[in-house]
Amino acid sequence: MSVPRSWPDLLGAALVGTARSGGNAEELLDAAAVHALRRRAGAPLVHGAQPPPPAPVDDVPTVGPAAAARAGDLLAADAVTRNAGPVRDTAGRLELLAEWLAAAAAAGRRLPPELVPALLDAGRRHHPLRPLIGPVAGPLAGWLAAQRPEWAYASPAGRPEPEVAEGRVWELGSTGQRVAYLARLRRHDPAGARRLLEAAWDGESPDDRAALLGTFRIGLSLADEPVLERALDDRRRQVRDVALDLLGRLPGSGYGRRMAARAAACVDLAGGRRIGIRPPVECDRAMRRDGVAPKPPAGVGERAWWLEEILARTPLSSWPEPEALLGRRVADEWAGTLRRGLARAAAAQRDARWAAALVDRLTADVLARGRPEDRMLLEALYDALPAQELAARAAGVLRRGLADANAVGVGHVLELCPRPWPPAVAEAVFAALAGQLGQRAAGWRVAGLCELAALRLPADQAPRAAALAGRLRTARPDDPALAPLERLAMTLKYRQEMLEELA
Amino acid sequence: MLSLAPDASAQRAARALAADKAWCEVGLSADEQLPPTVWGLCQGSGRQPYQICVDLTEPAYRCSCPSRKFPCKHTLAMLLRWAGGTVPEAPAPGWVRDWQASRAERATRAVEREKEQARNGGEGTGRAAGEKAATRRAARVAAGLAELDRWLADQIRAGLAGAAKLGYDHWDAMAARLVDAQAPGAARLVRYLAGYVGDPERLLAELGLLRLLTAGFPRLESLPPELAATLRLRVGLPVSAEEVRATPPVRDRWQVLGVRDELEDNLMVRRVWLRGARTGRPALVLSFAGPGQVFVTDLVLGTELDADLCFYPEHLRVIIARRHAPAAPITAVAARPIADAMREYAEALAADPWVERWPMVLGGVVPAKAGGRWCLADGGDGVPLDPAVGAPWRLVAAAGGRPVTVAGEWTATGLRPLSVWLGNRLVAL
Repeated sequence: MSVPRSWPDLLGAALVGTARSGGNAEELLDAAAVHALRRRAGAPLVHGAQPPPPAPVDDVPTVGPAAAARAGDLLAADAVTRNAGPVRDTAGRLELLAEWLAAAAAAGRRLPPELVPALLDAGRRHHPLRPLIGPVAGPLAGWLAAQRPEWAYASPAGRPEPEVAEGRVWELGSTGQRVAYLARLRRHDPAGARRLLEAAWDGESPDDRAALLGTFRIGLSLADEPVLERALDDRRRQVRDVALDLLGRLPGSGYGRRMAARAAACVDLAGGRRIGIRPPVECDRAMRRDGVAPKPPAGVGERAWWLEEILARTPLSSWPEPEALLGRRVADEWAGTLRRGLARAAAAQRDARWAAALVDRLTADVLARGRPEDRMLLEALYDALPAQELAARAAGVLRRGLADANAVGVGHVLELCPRPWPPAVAEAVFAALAGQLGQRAAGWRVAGLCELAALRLPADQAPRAAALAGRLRTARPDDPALAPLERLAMTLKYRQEMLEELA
Repeated sequence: MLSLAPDASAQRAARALAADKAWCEVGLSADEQLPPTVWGLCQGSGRQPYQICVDLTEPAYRCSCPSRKFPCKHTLAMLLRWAGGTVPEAPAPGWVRDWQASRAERATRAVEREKEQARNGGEGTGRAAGEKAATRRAARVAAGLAELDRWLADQIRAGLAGAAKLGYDHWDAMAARLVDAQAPGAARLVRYLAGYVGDPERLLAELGLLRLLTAGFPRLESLPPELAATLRLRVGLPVSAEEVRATPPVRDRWQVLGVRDELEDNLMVRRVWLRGARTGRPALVLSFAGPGQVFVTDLVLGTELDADLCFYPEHLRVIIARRHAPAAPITAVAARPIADAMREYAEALAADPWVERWPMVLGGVVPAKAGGRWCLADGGDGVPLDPAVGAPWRLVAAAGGRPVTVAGEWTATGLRPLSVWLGNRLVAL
């Protein structure tokens, strides 16, 4: 049998093997070589290509080459892992990227188009970047998003509509789709949404009841109270918790009045300069229904705990002004309970005035006793403070020295401070660093502060950080404790150069 | 400029140093007798300032600092200053002249040595020994290829359907015997066969191309000299740099249109693809780096270089024989339509059937999808992209749906884009 002539026949013979199909193996190989070369030279083109419509024309100029190269570095995921970058971890890199994006947007410049896909990928994984993408990517972001579902978040039309038709989502959609549907409805028709949920209430599973009721956070009003009161009697704990949370946010609710009445029975303000405390003698059914936990944590007395629980749920509006109340004397054994209860209320109700009044007193408590719960409570209070207040606190706390500052969670305060840090905070940070590093020991205390300061100090503080690092290094050439400060100086310089490139 | 840096920390250090006040003196010599040279004195940690000079035509550099990085941060920083336009023209001091003189002398000596070797083929006894070694090697290679020829036929006799069940050992054993037979080029091709067992069409094609090697080698004398030289190169017989340098050089403005690093057998291989702005001729600069080493290469994507190149026998790989001017940014890229590029590839294939990658510069193409596969489309027809590249989003975004010029490597599985020309800048892909 001779060697076949066509490529498919050659391939068939080669697959079977000439030992079985017959023919000469060498000749088959020679023929295969000729065919292979002919096929390669004839380079098969693909047909029916469908190019996308051109992207909208964008007249906004792109950033300069240096800034573009830096953005490319920040977007390259592996750059940091080699420890060659200006920051150690991904979180730091993303913060630098966010600063770059904001500065480019402020300068009215665009990212070079070839970097936009990497930016869209970064935004896919890290939500806080998303609002920053539009201004620097321009219309290209939407154009690209239309071609890749993973980038749909960046398309101007938003996410594609769910596959279930809008009218049928409520009956047929998944839990997630129904929650989204109800949330949309709450936005423009809270009453309609309430009626919809009330009608379906008894047929829903407990998990769905909790998830759906959560949407009432949108457009919450006293009209929702009956539904929430009904949910307080639900068999499932999660549903009751959602209802309690919402009732606590609802000013003028019966729940708030019940709590205020309980608090008034326990806290006697009639005695002039002195507050009389009569803690509850029992945790009755009605208290438990309103969310008071009957069992105290270890080391806390029952009655003190019930008092704290009541105070934590009492509307702060039912008390006199913060200073007027906190300025009065109270028996020593009740002072801590009173402060903690009020602090929990201030954190939950996000009341800046009460938080400001309580934070100093609680700081003293934490420094004196240092219970972990108190420190967490303090951090919750910081969350309720306005940015300017926070900056003042941060500066104040830092002035006590880093050891005390760390004990009261200065990292958390600084984390919440406006960025870049206002001058007062920057001054306090430099003073604390110089103070701490001036004493040889305990350099580890500065590592966390340096890492945060590297990203949050104003970039124009770079020369100052470099000067401080240089001065200390000259004095102590071999001290490893100075490394975090030197890293801080390097990162600040990086940021300064970055912002100069974009100016 | 910074892409010359051996690593990122040197880059950072150089950026910092360029703006520093440590520079005592810098200058650009504009002397008739010297090639353009930037020089400077930089106060480092030593007592004497470091002496740095850079010949811009190569670039070749020297710095008197003790750093083992090459080029060091002082060199890079000085180049940055020069690039920033802050280096005034000034007559070169003595030490710069000495350096250039010693370099010129070395170059002359090397040329003379080569000439001498070319005249008498080395010294008397060495020459005889060399010839004997070459004959011995040729015999071993011939024996190795004869064995490969029999082995190829065995595969076809046994049938490729069973190939998928064979482990790597099956292919590696033959490759190892070829290495022993001093035919590393053929060995490499055999080792790659293991990767094609799932694709019988590709496997048969590659076996056929190997057969071209084994069938051609015994009758090298009867082949056209160019093809014979290419075949010897593909088998793995060495071609010395002197032989390559002895070929007539081709001068052009060589544009760096693609740089690609790949790991092959524990060795990083860098392929720098050039194209002559005047001749349109493609060229390839290959360099290698072992584990932990860095590439000592100064060809930067998006620049062009006025230089003499000498080609290896397969007319693609080159040695840079002489540079006439420092590299400059590319200002225009000549591209051709898909049909012309494919015709050029067919011609290249006729001259070198074993060519694995062929550089292409395609003009007026839009990245698009055709039936689930990415391609570069020119109207309805498109050049398929290598599926291994993945979705080319960087290219898609750079093009924005408009026709662009794309440079890439054409392989048996499709095009691998390396850069895109956007009319004013070249973007790496």
